[in-house]
Amino acid sequence: MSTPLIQAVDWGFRYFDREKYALRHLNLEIEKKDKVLLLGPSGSGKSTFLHALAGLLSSNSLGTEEGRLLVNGDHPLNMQGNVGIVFQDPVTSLVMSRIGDEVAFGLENVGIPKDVIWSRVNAALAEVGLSYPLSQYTSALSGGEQQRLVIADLLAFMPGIWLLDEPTANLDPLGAKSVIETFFQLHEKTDTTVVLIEHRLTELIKLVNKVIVLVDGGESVLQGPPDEIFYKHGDFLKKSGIFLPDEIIERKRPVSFGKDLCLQASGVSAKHPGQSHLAVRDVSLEIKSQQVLAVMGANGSGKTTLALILASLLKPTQGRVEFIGVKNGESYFSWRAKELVQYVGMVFQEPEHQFLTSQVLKELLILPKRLKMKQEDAKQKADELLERFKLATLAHCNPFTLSGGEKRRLSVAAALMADPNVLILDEPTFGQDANTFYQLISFLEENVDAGQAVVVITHDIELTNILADRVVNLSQGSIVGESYSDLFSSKRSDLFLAENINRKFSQGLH
Amino acid sequence: MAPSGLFFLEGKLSRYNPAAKLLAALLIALGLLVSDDITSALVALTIELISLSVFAIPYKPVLRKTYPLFLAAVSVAIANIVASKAPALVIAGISLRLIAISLPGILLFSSTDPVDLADSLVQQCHVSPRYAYAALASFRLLPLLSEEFSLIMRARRSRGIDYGRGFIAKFPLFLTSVFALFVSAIRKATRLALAMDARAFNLKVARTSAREQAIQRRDIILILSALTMVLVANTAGIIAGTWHIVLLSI
Repeated sequence: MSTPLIQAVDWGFRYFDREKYALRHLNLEIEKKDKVLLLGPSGSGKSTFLHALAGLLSSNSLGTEEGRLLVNGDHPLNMQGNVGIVFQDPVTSLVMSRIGDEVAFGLENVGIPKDVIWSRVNAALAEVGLSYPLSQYTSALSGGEQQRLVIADLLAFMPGIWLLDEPTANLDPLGAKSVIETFFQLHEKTDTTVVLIEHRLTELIKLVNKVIVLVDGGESVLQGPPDEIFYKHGDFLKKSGIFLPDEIIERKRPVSFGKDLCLQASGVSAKHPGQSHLAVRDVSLEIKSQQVLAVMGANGSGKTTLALILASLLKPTQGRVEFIGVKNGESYFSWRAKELVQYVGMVFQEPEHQFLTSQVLKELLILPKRLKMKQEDAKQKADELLERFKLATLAHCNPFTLSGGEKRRLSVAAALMADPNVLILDEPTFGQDANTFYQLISFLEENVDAGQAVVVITHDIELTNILADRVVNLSQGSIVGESYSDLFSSKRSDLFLAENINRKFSQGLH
Repeated sequence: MAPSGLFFLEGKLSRYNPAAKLLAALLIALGLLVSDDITSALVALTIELISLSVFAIPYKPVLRKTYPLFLAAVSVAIANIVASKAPALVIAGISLRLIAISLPGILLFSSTDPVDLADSLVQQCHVSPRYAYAALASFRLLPLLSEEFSLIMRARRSRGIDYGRGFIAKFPLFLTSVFALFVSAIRKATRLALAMDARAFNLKVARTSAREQAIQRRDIILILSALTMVLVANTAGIIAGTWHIVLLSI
């Protein structure tokens, strides 16, 4: 019998700044040419395992290692150059400023001769369909193109093992589609071993012939062919916060046509410093209470910029925004912050940017203090929100040490402390597991039914399907389509639904 | 054009070897620090200005981009006039010298692609690739910092905290925002370092280079020209009788 390509024997790893092991007593084997989907609830150590395989956890500097983890019979640290990894965010994965140099970087590191480097660079770029000159700046590429460039880095590197850590999570549907197609094309040509982490079970799982589920921090492991795992352990997976591939996410709320007009933007345009084109171009929009508005569009279409304008965090170069019935005559953009947050709350894509204190409870109490609210009232309200957002047991923890889902819930709770009439959320479901996804949706449903206006900036089609009443599609800063949610199916969709929506929009325009 | 938006000079000078340009600029800087007289400064500056046209560098954009240098020179002169009893000619000499020393440095960096500089430092000056390319990679992330800072400021406003009116009200919040920026910069750098190590950057094998930086004849000529210019300027100072070694006067 041949030895497995990847082998964990009672393996564990603990980061120095944590008391608990990220993974412990892990036993598993991955054979050569296996295509593995690695599943586990958030915080189950999936990424730690991938980093360890890539040789990125040198045990002396980051934490302590126990047991044995072998790649090709050797410690992963000695296997660098044979293992390639694709991270979520291409921006911090790219090293060099030009695409040719970028692909060449890894080859230089392993001592490939110059002539060979450039032929491999050209071949890899052609393989992922990037036909720009080698001197093209990486910063000028779209997110999907940047991630394909990262894949080209790997292709040129020719590792025997590919580790993919949610490679499409940061991309809009079209960018994700191009990356997924690239993987499928490569898959037909090569017989590398693949270990994949995905939160949403996209088309990518069709590549997989084996599923490994990490349970209890690695103490036990479920493994088998995908059908068997999803069939046998479906309930368990669902309970652990894992999306199932055939999961039907039903819409519960009927479509709402909204009640009162809260916020009105008329002809707003905005430009980013140092850029010549407009990020938002002549947009007019009405936001109504008891209604969820979804703003969709590709990366770079101006969604976030529009959200910042609506939240009075960025002053448009043209046009006006009016909060109906409040402070008539005073410009919306010169409101003092503590007044603003009582009318409009904004939750950023990265919750950490909005954290101000070192304790969850203080994070909620910081605003009532500025508003000179009575202390008992503030405390009571904070406790209610902590209870509702399942953060009560974490009240005295440092916000920065929470898990991704907990951070997201805290940032929403913090915005709700001021009871804003309008709540704007930028990519609220980004990187969230199924548990947080469903919790977030039921929180927002409750708020909207209670009369709040909710705006979600998103390219998550499932979120739009089950939550949004009205959808606005942005392209290059302009609104190119607007519709009520009943235009498209409320059944579970795949990534490619984006095109259907676009088609419906363009039909609607003619 | 580099995306960082920095002043970049295309053309003849950008094709010279970066290490050679660095050496030439250093020679000029050191050579002009020997004396503090007006003649040698004036001669050096004249030769520099003439050589601008030798390298086909247009005067106008250079003047427009280097105006802070001239402001600095003027303010040095004003400070000296106010504070010291030095004769006007000596003061003028100091100001001109400031320009003559800085100009080659500015031309060096504005005519050199950072990637070429890193390559050349590794290949010609035997700087460790670990430092050269790590610095280069972090240089690429620099423009992101200002975006990040405005993001942090907005995040604070969204939490009900603003700067109030007036500088004193703003200052403490400015400090905490800078700290937040620092934390997030470290987080970004850590992720980039991870990505570099994932591509075997810390592998202990002989690293090859995909881009070759060679020393050519024109680079030797550039260095010799710099040396000659320094000698000519100082000789002119000696002949004119104004030459005066700085180190001896201290």
